[in-house]
Amino acid sequence: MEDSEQIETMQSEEIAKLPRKRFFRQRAHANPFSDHDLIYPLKPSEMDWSPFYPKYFSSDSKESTKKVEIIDVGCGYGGLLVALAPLFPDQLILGMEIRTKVEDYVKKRIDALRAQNKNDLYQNISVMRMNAMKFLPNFFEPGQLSKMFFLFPDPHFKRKKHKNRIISPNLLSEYAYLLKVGGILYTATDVKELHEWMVEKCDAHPLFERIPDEELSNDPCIRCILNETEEGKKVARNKGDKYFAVYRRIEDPDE
Amino acid sequence: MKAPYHLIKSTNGCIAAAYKNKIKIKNLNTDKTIEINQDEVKKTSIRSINFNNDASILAVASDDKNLKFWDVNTGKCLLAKNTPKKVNSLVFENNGKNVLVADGFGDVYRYSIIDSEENGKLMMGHVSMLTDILLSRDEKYILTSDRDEKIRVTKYPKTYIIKNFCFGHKEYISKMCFIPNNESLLLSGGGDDYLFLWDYVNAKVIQKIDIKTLIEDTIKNNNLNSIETYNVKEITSYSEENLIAVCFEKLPAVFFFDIKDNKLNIKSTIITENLILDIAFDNKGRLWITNFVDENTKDLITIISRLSPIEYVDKEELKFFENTEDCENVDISKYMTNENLRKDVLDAKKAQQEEGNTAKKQKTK
Repeated sequence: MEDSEQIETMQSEEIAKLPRKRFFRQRAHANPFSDHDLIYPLKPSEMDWSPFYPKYFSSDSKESTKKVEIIDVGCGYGGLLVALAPLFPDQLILGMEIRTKVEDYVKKRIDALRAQNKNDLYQNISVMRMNAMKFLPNFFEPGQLSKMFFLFPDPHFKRKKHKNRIISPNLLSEYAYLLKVGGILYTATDVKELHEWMVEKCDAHPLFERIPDEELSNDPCIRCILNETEEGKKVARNKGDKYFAVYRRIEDPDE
Repeated sequence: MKAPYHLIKSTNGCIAAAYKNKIKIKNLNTDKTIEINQDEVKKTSIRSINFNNDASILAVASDDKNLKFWDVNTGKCLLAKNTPKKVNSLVFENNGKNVLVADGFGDVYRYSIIDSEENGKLMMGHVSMLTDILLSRDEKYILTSDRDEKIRVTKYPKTYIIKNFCFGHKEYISKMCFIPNNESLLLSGGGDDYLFLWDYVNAKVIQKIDIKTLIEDTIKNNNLNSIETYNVKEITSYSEENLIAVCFEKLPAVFFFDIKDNKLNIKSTIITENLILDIAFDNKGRLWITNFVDENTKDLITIISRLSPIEYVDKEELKFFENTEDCENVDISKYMTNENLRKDVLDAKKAQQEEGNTAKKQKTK
């Protein structure tokens, strides 16, 4: 008994230390078409979210009154998740990341933050290793999401690889399916060419309408995007440009 | 040895059977026959064929990414287009003016068969290989199935609106078929132990049909060679008699189901002499079966005209289809490819590849 208690305290001390990013570096590309040995539910109703948000579930139930509403697709090292946690304390926020090591880092970071903050702060954020281009509809019901973030995605410069871009005409239809009417899609990049592409594709999609930049000044998420994401900070350090474009999910104009 | 017919389709009394790069077409109403050569130079294999509604035009997609439209009466090529990726399935709009093609890269393009300048409009796409595409008879929905267990129901022609996903399959899906006389129902199958009957507009499972037991019993009762996995090769229907026929890779059997009160019931099972490549009902409800060939094979096609007692159509009807081209060796793995879509098969291949790569790396070191 004593031994196991000792181990437990040791573990919780370890967890409380924030992980160091340099041990979790992984190249910033992954092929979205390959299988990656991912685990995903057959359909959204079969997803067990209790390990991701334990405070929101009673110990014997997979049911929760709350559903994930905000997702950060390609969350990287989790800067945005951590910044959003106190901004939306009543909403479940999920980061999705395809690179194992990076996802592992974010997981440890959230564990440490939860352990350091006893007041339930950071209980509403979690991370999952996932290929969002393939399996989002397996996790979320239509209209379940209120915000989707696509920040500093892989630019896939080669023309042939444009289909691998996370914002594409095909995938926008899927995001429109998952976002509730009035839900918001955020994009940000430091690559002008990619910014222009994302704007072109979103503008052309009948279910999205751009929110004018001047209306965004009241949106706290924008400050987070520009100042709290790792990529955003890097760009700021290098004094580079940051472009963003935000869209609202609208109803089909003809219906 | 003769080259086998790897595809057969039937619409409005016309039968088209494809072998290698060629197609034989017979109009059963007029007995008129015609032969088409999709590609004389490269001789690449045909991947997918389909008639328009009145069977006046046949669309043919081949391995060289050519999409050609053939006039079934004259045997002339009306139009040729290039597709960006290899086509796995294609379907005409009711009016016959456009064709929708589903490709291996997950995209659906629409091609006009009237406008020779136009070169395909991207309509929608999955990030996964597409295996089949259907258009509902009222043309309100496109149905697409993929390697990642999904059937997507998309509005048509507003393909930017996804109606829903039919979730239930645990393996790839290879074929979908509307239930005759009730088009709100869809039957799908692939690498699973079950066929699924769907109310696809509402994404509801109506029935799961256990094919594992069915196949295992059939193998046992008929002393057939056992197969490790079950991979649906084709699902086809005959509306006059509410009949569905299903066949599998590497299994010499056809399963017939009838539909009563929106449920499928097994009606009969027919054992064939050879492994089956494709099946199609003609306008009289006779089932055409094309089969794989080996040294002992005599016939390339058999036609079942009656189920119980079973009756076969005599050779005269098949005379036109009797001969294809001689070929030296017929590699079975080229004709049974659905199996390769299984996750475990792909994983094994990947592991092998990685092993090869590390071996190479070690060598260079």
